[in-house]
Amino acid sequence: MLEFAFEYRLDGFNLAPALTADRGVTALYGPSGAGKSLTLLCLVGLRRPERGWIRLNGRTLFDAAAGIHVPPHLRRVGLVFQEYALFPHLTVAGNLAYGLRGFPRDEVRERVEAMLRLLRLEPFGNRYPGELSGGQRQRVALGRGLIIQPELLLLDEPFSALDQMERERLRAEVLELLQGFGGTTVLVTHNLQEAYLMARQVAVIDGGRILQAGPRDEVLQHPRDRRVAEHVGASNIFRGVVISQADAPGGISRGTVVADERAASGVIAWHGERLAVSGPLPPPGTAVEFCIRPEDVRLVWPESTAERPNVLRGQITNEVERGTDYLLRFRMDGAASEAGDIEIHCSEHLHYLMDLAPGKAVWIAFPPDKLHVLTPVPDTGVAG
Amino acid sequence: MARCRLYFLALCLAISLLLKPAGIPASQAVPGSPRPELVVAAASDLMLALREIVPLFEQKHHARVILTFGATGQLTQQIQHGAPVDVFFAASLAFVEELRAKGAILADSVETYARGQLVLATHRDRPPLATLRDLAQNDVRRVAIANPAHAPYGMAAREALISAGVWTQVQPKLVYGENVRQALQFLETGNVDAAIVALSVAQVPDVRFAPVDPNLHRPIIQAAAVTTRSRQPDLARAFIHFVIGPQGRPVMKRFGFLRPGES
Amino acid sequence: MELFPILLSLRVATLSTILAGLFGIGLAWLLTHRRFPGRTLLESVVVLPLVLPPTVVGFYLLLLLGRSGPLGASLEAAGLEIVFTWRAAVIAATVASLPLVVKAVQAAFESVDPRIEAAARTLRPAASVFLTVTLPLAWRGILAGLILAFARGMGEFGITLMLAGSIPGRTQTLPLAIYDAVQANDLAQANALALTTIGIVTVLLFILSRLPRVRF
Repeated sequence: MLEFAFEYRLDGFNLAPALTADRGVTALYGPSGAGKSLTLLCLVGLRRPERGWIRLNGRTLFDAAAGIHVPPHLRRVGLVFQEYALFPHLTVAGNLAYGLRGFPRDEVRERVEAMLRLLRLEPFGNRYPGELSGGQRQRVALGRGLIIQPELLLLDEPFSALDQMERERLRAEVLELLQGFGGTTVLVTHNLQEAYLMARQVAVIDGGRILQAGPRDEVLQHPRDRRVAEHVGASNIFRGVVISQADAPGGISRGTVVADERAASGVIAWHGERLAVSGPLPPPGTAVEFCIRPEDVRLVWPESTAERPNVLRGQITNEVERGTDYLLRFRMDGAASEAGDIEIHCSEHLHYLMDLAPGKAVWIAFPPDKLHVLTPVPDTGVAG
Repeated sequence: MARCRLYFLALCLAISLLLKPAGIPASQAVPGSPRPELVVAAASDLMLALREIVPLFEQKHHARVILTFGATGQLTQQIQHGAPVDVFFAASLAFVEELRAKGAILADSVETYARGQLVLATHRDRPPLATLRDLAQNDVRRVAIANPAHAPYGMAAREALISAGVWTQVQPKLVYGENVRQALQFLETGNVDAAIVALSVAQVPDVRFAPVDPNLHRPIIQAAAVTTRSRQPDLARAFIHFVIGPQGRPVMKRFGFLRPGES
Repeated sequence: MELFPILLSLRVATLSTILAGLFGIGLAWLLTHRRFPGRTLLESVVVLPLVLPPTVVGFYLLLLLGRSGPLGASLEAAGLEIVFTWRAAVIAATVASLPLVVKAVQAAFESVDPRIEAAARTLRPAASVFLTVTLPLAWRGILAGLILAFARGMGEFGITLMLAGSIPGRTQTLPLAIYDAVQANDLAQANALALTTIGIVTVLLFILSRLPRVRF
């Protein structure tokens, strides 16, 4: 388990992340310039924070107050750089063996051979990095980090330098390798999909701070506030007012029968509509921000509208074909401006069935359990 | 850590090489008796004269003399700062006095070995010049002298030109050499039309010269002395006396080093 | 033709190249990888021998290493003579070559991808990284610096003359011998020695052009 909380200043940028990462893969996800790579550098010991501490499986790697700073090569931390940073003057075997200085020659040879087998790079042991493809180099970089049997493995955007096909293939391979690795892994990425695919825990980082961390699905489905919501792709963020909380009288927009067991807990007024929202709400009268992910917005057949809560009528104003699906823009009837437009992901199949096109009138619905209330961001700008 | 030590060791090794004496080829030592050694530092113009005198001295005293030549000013600095020199032959008494004031030489060992004689030299292929006044002529465009800032012969040349009343005309034509030898070289290679140098360097085939009236400048007294750090002061004194004595004097005279009173 | 000046110069140049190499690589590493107060000052001091006239450099060394100087006094007490010995010639050549080595090696170190060094530091201590990664990747620049140092050491004149004097059979290096030959009007000797110098340097450059061109 990895725990840390530290502060590191660089040219006016203030990095102050704090996180607890369990065994398994944690994705450190955020935009460029958020401080992701810098965090890794501090974790491995190549940079020294001004304040704070870092603990790995109970061992203190760094503690500013106590003056502890374990040198990088003694931390049992493996780091895989974005551009691999392989040693061009050593063979693949030499690269792998580099971290095994001090071990008996036979053992080193065995471990290198085993790693070559694991990486499926057996014939390449005596080649030089310059002779390998991107994917092969990536594997060597990974192997170099794993061969020292680290307790923590840090991957800095390991797939960003690869093309699409290699990337997908390698993700699967790396996932498999990581299953065999029993320690903690932190994967830095700016690709949400990658974070989702590779990690079980996600930590959203921006502006040098960790905005939210937790199990993957929770962070994605229940972003804490607007900033996190924007980062995790819950791009439909709205403002409304709470009408009532759980089980209070007060009708819901359309229909009284709800499809599944989860009864609408409360009601939020929004643009003249009364939306049923699952989950706890602040007291009535409170202004709230809430969001719904584009892929959770349902397109409803006109004949089904009576059965569903939170149904809205409007028009498709714009659509972007993305090959595998469509990105639709929907404007409610009576909406004043495009500020309230809703983003919807729609499969190609559905798009075809419903014969959607810009200008077409459609019905959509917000499933109550997909509407997620956000914590207001305090003025200090730092979320918890 | 081990590699760090390796680097450090390599550095120590290199420095220790500095301590180990390099294999300088030893002289043909007479087996049995070690020969005493003298280091003699002399002004450059004494090169030819001393090279001839030294073998005679070595034979007589069964000693070995190591000669080193240079600019008097530089040699003075070196002796002052610990150069292991036994005897110093300076081109001017002033430098010897300087060392005496610093306690670097034995005061009672100072001897005058020559009085510097200035000559006006021209290349053999040119019409000769008789006096310094001739240097003011228009067809004399460049004149070489030793640097008056630090070379005794240069200072004397300057004094002579001033006394002769032609300094203002000649000064723009002057080219300074590091020493009289270099000034002579400028003349030999045809880069100057005339040169005021020492008699001791001017006796070369391609050069014609005429003496400069000694009354035009302060006497250039060339003196020698034994250094205080010399480990062979007696032998050192003997060398000086050899050079100015009956054996050395003919050679010195031949090379233009005349004692006061000689011509 | 005398052999002594040639042999002496070869020895002096070899020793001074080793010394300038060791000190120079160390200094270059310091200047590339560490920030500290006085860094710019150190860089300026290192470059001084390139800028100042050799006689001036020789003079300051004389002050330092002469028997009345701070270092010279203690060295003399230890029985170690510097001024007017072959050691002075080595020191003169080292001081003259040092800035060349430092600059060449600095450029070589700066050309090494810092990420590769960083990756190595996660696996081995800093000293090991220097020897097994930085040096091998910078070897071409280092070699260039050492060649310059050797050539400079072979040709060193002004500082040597001031610190070691020109004593035939003791400290008279090749350049000093050429100068003395010219002074004595022995142009035949001077030419022979000059051609020897050119010959040695040409052979050196030829050997170096034969080295494998390894590209990383």
